[in-house]
Amino acid sequence: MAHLYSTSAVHRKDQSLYRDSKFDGSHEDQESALARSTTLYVGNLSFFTTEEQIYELFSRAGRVRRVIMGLDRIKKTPCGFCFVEYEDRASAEACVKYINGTKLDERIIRADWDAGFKEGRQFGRGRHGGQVRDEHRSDYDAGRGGYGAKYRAETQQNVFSSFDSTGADSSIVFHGDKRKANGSSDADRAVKRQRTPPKTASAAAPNTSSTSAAATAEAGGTSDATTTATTAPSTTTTSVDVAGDDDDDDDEPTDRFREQEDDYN
Amino acid sequence: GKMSRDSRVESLVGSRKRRREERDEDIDELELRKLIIEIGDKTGLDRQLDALHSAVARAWDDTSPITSDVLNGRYDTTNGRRSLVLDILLRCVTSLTVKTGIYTTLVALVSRDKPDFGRLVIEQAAKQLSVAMTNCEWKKADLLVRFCADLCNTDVMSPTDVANFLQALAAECGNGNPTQRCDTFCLLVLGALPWCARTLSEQCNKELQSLLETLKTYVSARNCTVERVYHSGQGSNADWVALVWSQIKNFVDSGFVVTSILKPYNTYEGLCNANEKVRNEAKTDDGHISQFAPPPHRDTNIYMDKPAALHLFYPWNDLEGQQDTKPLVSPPDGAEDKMAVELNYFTDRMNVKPVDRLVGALYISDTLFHWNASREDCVKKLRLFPIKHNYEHMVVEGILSHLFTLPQTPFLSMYYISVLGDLCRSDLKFPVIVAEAMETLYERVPTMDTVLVDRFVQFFSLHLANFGFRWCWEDWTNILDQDQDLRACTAKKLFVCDVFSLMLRHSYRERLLDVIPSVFHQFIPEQPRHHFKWETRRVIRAGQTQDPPKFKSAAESIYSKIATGTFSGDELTLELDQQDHAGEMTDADKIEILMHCIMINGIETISHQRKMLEKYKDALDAMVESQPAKEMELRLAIVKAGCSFWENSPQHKLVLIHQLLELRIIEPVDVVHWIFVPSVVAYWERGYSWEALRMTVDALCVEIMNTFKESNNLAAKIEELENEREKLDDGMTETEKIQEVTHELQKKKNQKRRAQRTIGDCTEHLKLMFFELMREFRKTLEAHYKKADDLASKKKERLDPTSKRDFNRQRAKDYVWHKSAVSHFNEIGCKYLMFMYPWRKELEEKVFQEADDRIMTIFRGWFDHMCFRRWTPGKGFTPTNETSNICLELFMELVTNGLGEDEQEEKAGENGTAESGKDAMEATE
Repeated sequence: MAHLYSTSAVHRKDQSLYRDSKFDGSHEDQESALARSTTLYVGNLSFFTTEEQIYELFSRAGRVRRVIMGLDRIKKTPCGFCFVEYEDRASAEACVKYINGTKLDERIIRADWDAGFKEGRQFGRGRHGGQVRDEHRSDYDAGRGGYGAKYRAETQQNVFSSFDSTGADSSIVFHGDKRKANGSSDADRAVKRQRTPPKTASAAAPNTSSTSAAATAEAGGTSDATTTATTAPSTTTTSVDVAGDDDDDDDEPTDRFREQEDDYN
Repeated sequence: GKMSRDSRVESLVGSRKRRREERDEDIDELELRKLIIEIGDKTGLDRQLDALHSAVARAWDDTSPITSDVLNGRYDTTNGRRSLVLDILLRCVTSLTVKTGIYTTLVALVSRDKPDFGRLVIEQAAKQLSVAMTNCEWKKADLLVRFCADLCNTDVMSPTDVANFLQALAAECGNGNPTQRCDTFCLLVLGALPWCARTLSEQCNKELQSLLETLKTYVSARNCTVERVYHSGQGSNADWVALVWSQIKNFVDSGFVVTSILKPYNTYEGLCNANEKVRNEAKTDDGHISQFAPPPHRDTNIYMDKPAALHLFYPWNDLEGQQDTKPLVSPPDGAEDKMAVELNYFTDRMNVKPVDRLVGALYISDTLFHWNASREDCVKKLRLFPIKHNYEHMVVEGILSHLFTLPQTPFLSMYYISVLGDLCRSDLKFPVIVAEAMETLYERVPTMDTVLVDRFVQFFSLHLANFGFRWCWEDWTNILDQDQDLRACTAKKLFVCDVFSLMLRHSYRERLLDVIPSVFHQFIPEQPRHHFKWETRRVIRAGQTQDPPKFKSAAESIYSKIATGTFSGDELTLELDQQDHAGEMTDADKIEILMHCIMINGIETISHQRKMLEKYKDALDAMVESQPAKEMELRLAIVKAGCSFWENSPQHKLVLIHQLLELRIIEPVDVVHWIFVPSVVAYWERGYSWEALRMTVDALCVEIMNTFKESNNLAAKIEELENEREKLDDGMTETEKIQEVTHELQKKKNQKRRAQRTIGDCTEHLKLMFFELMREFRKTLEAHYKKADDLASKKKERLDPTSKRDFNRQRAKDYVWHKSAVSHFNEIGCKYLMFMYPWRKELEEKVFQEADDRIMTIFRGWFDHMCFRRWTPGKGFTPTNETSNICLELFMELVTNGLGEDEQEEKAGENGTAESGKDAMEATE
């Protein structure tokens, strides 16, 4: 029994490594919110992973109340994280125990306690709109928009100029997927999946957006509603504090996790 | 530099020396605790035992107060550190599965110096065993019985005493006890035999033989088909108890050789003689374990989970020699020597003795239970058993047998799947073995219980999703052949379809097209897509009329009204009525229009869909309430309309049903009715409709459980407040303070009343659901049997080849459908028996009166076997029996006499007098 082996009152497994540095309240408030929370922060997702896939995997631990997809602040596209809120605490605990560290869309994902979703937290806090961890990355990650945003911005001109002609969105540079033997590119993959990141009909939580489904299509041609752009919650985009974002690394996986990731791969 | 380093080294050495001295002389309680817990974790067991036994002996009489802050106050030290040592020792015994032998040796060594030690340990163990049995903590009981039995090897307990003790437990088998209790006690005794049978046979063979005779009589008489894994074929009747019995029988017949148990006591000579004195002293004691009497059975007891008897890698019956040992998966291509190594794993497993497999299974089961909080530790422990052979096969089969426990896994199935995944990542031997297991299971799909096939589908698709979807699909192409066994092929094809369907939910279609060979592409479902009835660009199937569906203009108008976002639910219903100029729309039509238009407007994401449903709940509610006589029908129409919108996506259907329930647009019983809609019944062999049913019943049960807990907490709080108020009444306290307490009390009472009303409501829903379920099940199954009988009579007629083929195909389909229907019917009965139990008489009289024999057998099976299950709502936690037990007791109480009280209370609440409310409250407690 695990508790026999832990002398301190708090077992190390109960301790979450992730803290929201923008938490509105004291450290104690945050800790007690975490202890009661039914919400999890899920990290290291692929940009292409859909809400349905997240539902599918996370329902295995219990009934999911809602999923809030993390979005690129500027492009309003999924940027590799989400919040999963369960109906009860036990399900959330089961999720941390059994789903954390398994693969979703062939990436090892991280599920960690979160003090609860607040409007605005669905947006990436990196300078370029995505997550902070994608700012400084210099490695190539096909599932997360290629190279890190900063690195990309600096080197785009000389390294990727040839790729711009492919017609893909210039800020997301696609590159040959190293993992695939048949050499199909990430751009192909994105097209195949009909879920290119630049699409804005995305997972913006509709809770606050007053004009959530502004489908422009007429009744007869409503299939278009799926592909037309949704107006993003306009109230929230401006409220996010952009200044001083660079030092904010709360969405960044800890070193421990990076190691783990390497272990498994 | 040099100087300072030297001095640092010196100080380090010094402190180490000092610490060592301390350990020799007077070790801290925490350190003692640590030593007891961690003994045997590192090499050098003898040395550790020597050090520990003298430390324990010293601490035994140490009356000085405990210095450690962590342990201070928890233990009484007037009699030395006895309570502390006993507590820690028994906690280790009841949770550290592999180390039983180490702790018995420790007990023997200490009681050589301190004669009362052994006696007190046994006394304490007996006490704890009794409590564990009362609380139905069978994992704890199992380890305690094992520990006590092992004590005979060191003579702390005499073999005769151990035999008597085990005989007392075995006496519970039969005796008119329910099967689950008999099985539990049978397994407790059988599980202890590997530890003590040899010594018993040497010193009191007569007693051992009579014990074995008792068990044999029980096992050969029992016939338990409620939890069968396979519906037909060799070994299908051999469940876990039968399997364990055959392993023990083999052990007895082959001279009691077991190699997988740690026996450190064998290295100490004369340990037995020294302890004889202790034993004689103990003899005089009244509370001795040889007179142990298990606490009697109660209706509310929940018995041991029995893992599934899968018979994957090993023969199903060890008495009848070995089965075909040819591996199903050939080792991967590679160098010759690599091949030899691989082959070694396949053959080596057959060298493991049956009894060692039993011991291994016990280790695995305990490890999965005790280390569930940390997958990482669990995986580490699973790879460190003291078993000499390569036991990876055993681990895989052991974990899978837990995953396939009927009717419900002890923990969430995700736990077992993740542990298997982690094992595969940590050790390269595992992927091959897991693949072999999956291949074997696949071969067994045609006869396997469909509930387990569903679980296998889940496991298979998740496992593949974690390992890049790599699989030898080509090996399975034979199911596409026409001239194969039709039944088996139909079942396997269905399995493949279900796997692809789940893989699609985990991944995306193009990925599947990449990894799955093209011959199987016909089985990959389409990408989930919504289906808006009035969509103009909808592909119209050939042969159908080109006319758009009826009421197109009405749908268009409703659609655009919703899309603007400024119309309320009321306005929508008005608009619908206006659109219905000719009055030819039925209510179901209106609901269909509403549902489709609401959902197409919330198409972006699942959250949008929920938001839209929430927004227009009023309109749907109004539609349903407008026809009080047809409410149920109309709510069913909502479900049907919603599901037709997500025609090709099981996942979206499930999510939708969840949302509808959550928003209370529909009631749980509507899901039951949906299951029995003909178009859903036709797909019963697929997993998703059952998933919906499970989800619905589970949600109700969880709510009942949670509200129970809440209500209990409130009751405690109320009592506390009442005491406080009484105290205040005595003194000259300010009235303000009294008022405050009174107010608070009233608030809590209201809360409690609300909680009890919720429980009442939920129970009503549950009852309605079960009655509808059972009634419909009976109807559907009887209709099926009638159809099958008609078909069977047709068989005698001569048929031309084409119709014969169709006939056979139909029969194969019927077989698979029926297996699924019966499996799920049985699953619901067994899984929710606890919640159905209070109405068993009523069900039998009202629903199953004169039912078909085949149906009655299943129904009776649940109650005859009384297979009360540990029902773990959260399932992610350590399944503490505490909660589920109390809840069952309270649930029975509530159903039998709860409603009367509820009314009484309500009246009291209406009167508003706090006093009468209080009385009613007390009456409920």
